[in-house]
Amino acid sequence: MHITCNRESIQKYVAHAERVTGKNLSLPILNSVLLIAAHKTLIIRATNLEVGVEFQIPANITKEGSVALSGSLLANTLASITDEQEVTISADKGICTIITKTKKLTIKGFLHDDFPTIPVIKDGEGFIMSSNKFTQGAKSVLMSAALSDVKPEISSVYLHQIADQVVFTATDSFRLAEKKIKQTGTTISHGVIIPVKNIIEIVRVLESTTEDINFLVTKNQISCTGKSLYITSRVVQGVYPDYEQILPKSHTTEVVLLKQDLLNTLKLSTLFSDKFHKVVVSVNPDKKICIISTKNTEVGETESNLTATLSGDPIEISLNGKHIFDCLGAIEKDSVTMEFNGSDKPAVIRGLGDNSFTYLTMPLTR
Amino acid sequence: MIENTQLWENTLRELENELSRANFSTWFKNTAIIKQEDGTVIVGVPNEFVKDWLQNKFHKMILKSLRNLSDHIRSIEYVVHKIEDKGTEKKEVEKPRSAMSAELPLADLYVNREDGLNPRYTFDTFIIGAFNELAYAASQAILKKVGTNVYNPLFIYGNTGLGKTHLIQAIGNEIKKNHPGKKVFYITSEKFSVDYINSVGQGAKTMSVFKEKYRKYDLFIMDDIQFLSNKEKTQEELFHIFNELYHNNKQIIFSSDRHPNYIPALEDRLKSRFSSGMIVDVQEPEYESRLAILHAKAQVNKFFPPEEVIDYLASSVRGNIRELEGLLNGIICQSQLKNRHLTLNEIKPFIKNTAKPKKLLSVKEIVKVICDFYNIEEDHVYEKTRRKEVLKPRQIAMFILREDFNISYPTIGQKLGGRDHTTVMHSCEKVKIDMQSDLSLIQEIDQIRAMF
Repeated sequence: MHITCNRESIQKYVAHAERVTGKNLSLPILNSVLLIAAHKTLIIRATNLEVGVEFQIPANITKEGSVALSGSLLANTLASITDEQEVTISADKGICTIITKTKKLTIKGFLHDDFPTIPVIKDGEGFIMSSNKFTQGAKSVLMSAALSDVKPEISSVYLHQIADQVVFTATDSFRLAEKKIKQTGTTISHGVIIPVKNIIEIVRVLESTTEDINFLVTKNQISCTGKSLYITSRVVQGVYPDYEQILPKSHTTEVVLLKQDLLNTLKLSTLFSDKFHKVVVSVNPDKKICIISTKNTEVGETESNLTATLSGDPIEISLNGKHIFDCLGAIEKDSVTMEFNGSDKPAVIRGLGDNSFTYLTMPLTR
Repeated sequence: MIENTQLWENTLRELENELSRANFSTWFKNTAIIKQEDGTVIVGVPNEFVKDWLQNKFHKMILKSLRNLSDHIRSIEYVVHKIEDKGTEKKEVEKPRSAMSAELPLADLYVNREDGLNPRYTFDTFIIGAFNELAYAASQAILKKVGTNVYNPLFIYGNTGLGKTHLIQAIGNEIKKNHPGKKVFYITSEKFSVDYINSVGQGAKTMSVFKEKYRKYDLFIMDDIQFLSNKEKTQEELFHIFNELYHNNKQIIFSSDRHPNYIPALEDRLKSRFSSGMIVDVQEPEYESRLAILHAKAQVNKFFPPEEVIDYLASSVRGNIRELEGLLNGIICQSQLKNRHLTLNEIKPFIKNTAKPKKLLSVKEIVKVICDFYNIEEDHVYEKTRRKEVLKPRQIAMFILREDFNISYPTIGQKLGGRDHTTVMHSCEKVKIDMQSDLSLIQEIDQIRAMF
């Protein structure tokens, strides 16, 4: 193998590929990134058997071939070559040589007969969506997915279709986030559950581009195909709770306030809240009072009066301040609405007049 | 044919010798033979990556090993299949946060969107007692021979909260488990009619999609069929689906809160079809079953109230299992709050609070229901006639007014055409005595009671 290619692009894609190499797996070859030179393109491939990625970059190929190299070593090596436009990579009998104008490095490669193939989905349902719309949808809900692996279906993001919208949902059973992204031409008859760790990788790769991506889903796998990239991930085989049934359809109290006000108040509150991030929201529409207070016996207390439009019944509810804080980043509007249905029912947070994002959080009991 | 697990274990043992340790454990972990048919072995693998690799890399090797063990095998197919990882059984970790924050009520919503079944409903959690023995036996017969048994269709009826939904969903889940290839579908009649109405509104194409959709199942379960009353076109559609499924020997299961003959405004042709298989009822659980249910629930919640409390609940709360559960949950909640077990005296007012208020019906309304049931003119009951067809309903009306609605003998006599209170007493006694020997009378009274 002997190729010459642009340094920046190989550096960028090897860095992405390195992230999905398997760590601490029983099959050592999974730690490596596979480089294949064929038909004027360099293919960079990596997988940890959860996610598989493949990138294609144009390259000047004088001799076709392939080599597998330690992912972290290659990524770090390329990252430290900063002064060159192009790099030349050649490999012979498992020894890889990287040559720039000023440097010459040799890296020991691995036998790559055992390097896994990456499943390609041929027929499946799906949609075509620009990568930034997809990453926006996924990032709006990511933080709500459960982190533990006890219930794989909720440490995941659920992707399904309602009318012509792709819906992203995540919940850790204490809060739930749902983001709808309009995309005509979507057909997903059965939703898919993507492990949150995998969708984070997908998002990270898709963030580096703005092109339209072709998403295909089957019962077992999801794949994202762009002009020069291909990512595929396993999906969780299981049942996602029919969460739509718990989204409240009405409310007894409504609070509309500026997002920035709420954000500032919560920032202050977190300094004083206890380890459960408890904040108490007291609303009295008749007296036009909206107070967020916190109390920590070891630190002190806060009480913030917020300017807000209020309607409905008076309420006092204890919420997890961190949960509220988390969702504000996903709200694009300047104003947010908080809806309550009593102090033991979940609170709903949305952007004002924006139904694409819905966030539910359970009150704290004590 | 060698047993699937045995065959695969032997194959793996052979492959283990030929492959490196790393390769073997990475690629063959959590694989299994799912089934064999006509020389084709279907191997279940955990994900697409493994499927791809086995197919491309190890296929020849696996086939060779399999053929060494069983020479009729000609080919292998790989499918992605969820296999429970037995080695690392995950224990539910203690959740410190749950004490602080209630969970979103998602646990009940794990409904499989493809077949509508809730995996929570299984026979493992189903309690069998005298009250549901027959329904359970019928369901077991169905499990043995899906579709081609005498219990097709199976119609289960009984009051609300007696475990009908649990039973029929458990049948669905069990069949899904035992016959992965069978298509199971559960729907409530309400969802069905909504689906029908939606497809009517959207033209011929969606209509045909609708028609096709319901005809492809091997097991079709429809819950709460009584809500179809007065929905003529939905009934008609169900009739066609029923015929199609029935002729193809597909199993059909219905549930309702009353006998099909007493569902108002249900077309006769549907009624007669429901009756063509097996109709079983689920009764109210008797004391022993209630006790068993409470014990099982306590087990599930890992909360064990004193025996006298459970005993008191079982003996004083009649009927509905759901209410029984609700009461137990309430007691659990109270005990956790107070951090000790409740005494019997604390529980008594609790039960009083949640006891269902008796429905208030006028004597006239009750008599009307009974007259409709026996198909006689209401006026005759109040008249001084001793014709046999009037006498029986009148006596039953007196009996029910006394037993179920606690109305005094003189009042009953006065309301039913100015009769003497001794006449009423005699009637009630007579019905009671007759009920001991006359089975059809018991059934009739049960059915009448179900209508209040």
